[in-house]
Amino acid sequence: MKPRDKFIFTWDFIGDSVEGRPNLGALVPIEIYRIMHYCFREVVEEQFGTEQGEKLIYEAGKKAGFAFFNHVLPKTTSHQDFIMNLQNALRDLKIGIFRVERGDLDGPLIIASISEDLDCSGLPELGYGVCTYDEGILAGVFEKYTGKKCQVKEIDCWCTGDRTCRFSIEFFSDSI
Amino acid sequence: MEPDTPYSDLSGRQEPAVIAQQFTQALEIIESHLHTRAQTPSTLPGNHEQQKVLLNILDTIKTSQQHVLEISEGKLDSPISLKGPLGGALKNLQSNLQSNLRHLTWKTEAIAKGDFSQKVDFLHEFSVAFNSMVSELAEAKKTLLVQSEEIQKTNASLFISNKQYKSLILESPVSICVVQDGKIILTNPAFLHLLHVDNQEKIMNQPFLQFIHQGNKRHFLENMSRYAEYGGSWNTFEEEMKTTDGTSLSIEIIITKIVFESEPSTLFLLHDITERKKNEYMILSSLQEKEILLKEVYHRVKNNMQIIWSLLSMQSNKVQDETIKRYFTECQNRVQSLALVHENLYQTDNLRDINYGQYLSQLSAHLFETYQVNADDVTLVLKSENEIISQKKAVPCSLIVNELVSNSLKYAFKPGEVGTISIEFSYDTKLGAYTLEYRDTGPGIPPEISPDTAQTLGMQLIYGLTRQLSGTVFLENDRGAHYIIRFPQDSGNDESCTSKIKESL
Repeated sequence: MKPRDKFIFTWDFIGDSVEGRPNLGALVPIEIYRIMHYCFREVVEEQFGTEQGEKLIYEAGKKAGFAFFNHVLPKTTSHQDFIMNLQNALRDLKIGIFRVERGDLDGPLIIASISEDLDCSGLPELGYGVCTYDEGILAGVFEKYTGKKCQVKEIDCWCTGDRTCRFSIEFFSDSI
Repeated sequence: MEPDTPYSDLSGRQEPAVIAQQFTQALEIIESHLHTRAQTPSTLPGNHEQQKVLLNILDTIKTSQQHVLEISEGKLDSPISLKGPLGGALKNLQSNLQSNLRHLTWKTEAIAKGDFSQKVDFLHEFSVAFNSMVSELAEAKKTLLVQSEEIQKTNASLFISNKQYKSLILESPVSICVVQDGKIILTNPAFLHLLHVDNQEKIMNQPFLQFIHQGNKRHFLENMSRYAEYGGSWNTFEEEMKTTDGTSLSIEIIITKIVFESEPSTLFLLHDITERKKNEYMILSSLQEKEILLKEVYHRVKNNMQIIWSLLSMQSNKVQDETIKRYFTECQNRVQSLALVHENLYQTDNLRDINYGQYLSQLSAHLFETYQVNADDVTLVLKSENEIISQKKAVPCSLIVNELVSNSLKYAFKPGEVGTISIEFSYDTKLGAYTLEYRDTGPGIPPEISPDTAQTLGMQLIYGLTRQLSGTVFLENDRGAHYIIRFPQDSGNDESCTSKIKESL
């Protein structure tokens, strides 16, 4: 086994599940995802503190968003098609039911909700939001499509008792 | 609400029957809260702990009812304080409704901006109706766009058409104006120029009649009412008009009924014929002058011929030789036949064509008188349907007739002998030629005389003058002398007509 200098995520790390998991297939239960997600998160926060940990999770989500945009979403320049493609992809991959509630891609702000969110739906009410990874994914996807920097913030979460996660997606004039 | 003391457990023990009764009471209270908006009774069954539980249940029921009511009223922002599955379900309901409505609002806004790709995949039957509405909107927009394009094309075409018509009217050299209820509502620059109008506004909504010359207003109105009465696509008449500075103009007016700006109107086209009228007047005056002069010439020619006739007569009276005397008479007759032509000419309307039937009657009467023939002895039968002959043809033809009648009167009848002279003059429209058919009941031309080579002046004149008329002579003895002389009417057509005439004889 050779030592590695730096880990870099590429789409190769998704692997070939058909070949690799001929019996078990590509799907795993949501519990496995959440075990991995929250245990990983606990460790990160233990190591770097809440604020820094959140930042790391957000950035990881953003990387995932870039990859998601590049490998999952069909290419389009139409705003309408982009939103529709994103909605369909999130639903088909069972990540959540994405709905834009306010604003558009030509404006400075979009308010969107994700129901039945992969990260938090069904969790106990904690009094704080937990969908930092989702924030990062949305930021990555929207930055890639618009070419503008954007900041995504969760404003409602299942864990805050709101049952539907709601995000503000704010665009800046700076290019990415 | 704090539990009341009557339900407090004072003894610490209760009989099973009492417990059962209290349980039943508690169930009844819960049921009444579930089915009605019942007030919580002031006394609750059970001990203090049981009353607290019952109160909590009643409070949960009331709070749930309150939340459901608020959600049903659309208040989706009220915080749901209930915990547990019921609270969770209410939160889900509230949250999903809120999210769906917000998303629906966003989609509706997107549709309003023209994004008909938006579809709703939630809210079940509503989504079917909503998506159907969006599809119909998209179709309607497509149809509207097509119609809009067509309207734009039509508008563009109308604009060009309007521009062309406007240009046609504005640049037309013909003066144009539109009149509605007698008032001018549209004019073109040519109209303004014609009537010396410096500002179009001055004559707008003014009566057209103001431009008609005072003395012609009745004539104009008569023409207008005649047009209105009898209709027709257009009417033309001439009118005297006056400009704004009082200058008189002769105008040819063409009027036609049109619909202008949805109102029945009259289109006037005015053509200045002032110069033409002046020229017409001058030509007419000149023509009248020339007619008078020509009449005078004919009259003088006729008078001069009368003088010649008189001179010959005077000279004849000095001659003793009967042969020479006869020559004088013949010569006088020829002069008289020509004088008669000119007399008829200046009495005609056009100074060119004479009524030849009338002429032949006059000439025959004169010859009968000259040769002192008794009308009881020699009968003249004259047939001519008021044929008209030009002066050019009349002169030679008259000399021929003069020779023919003179010959008959001289040679055909012995004194006291009864006979007939027939003269028929007609025009054949098919041939385009005149026919002079002459006949007497005398002995005919003596066989020793060959008409075309005869040396007698009479015969020479008959054949020579016929040639001059581009005509032909047919002569036979048929119970007397019988001549058929035919010559063309139009000199320009003489040759072709002559060949036809030859074929006809």
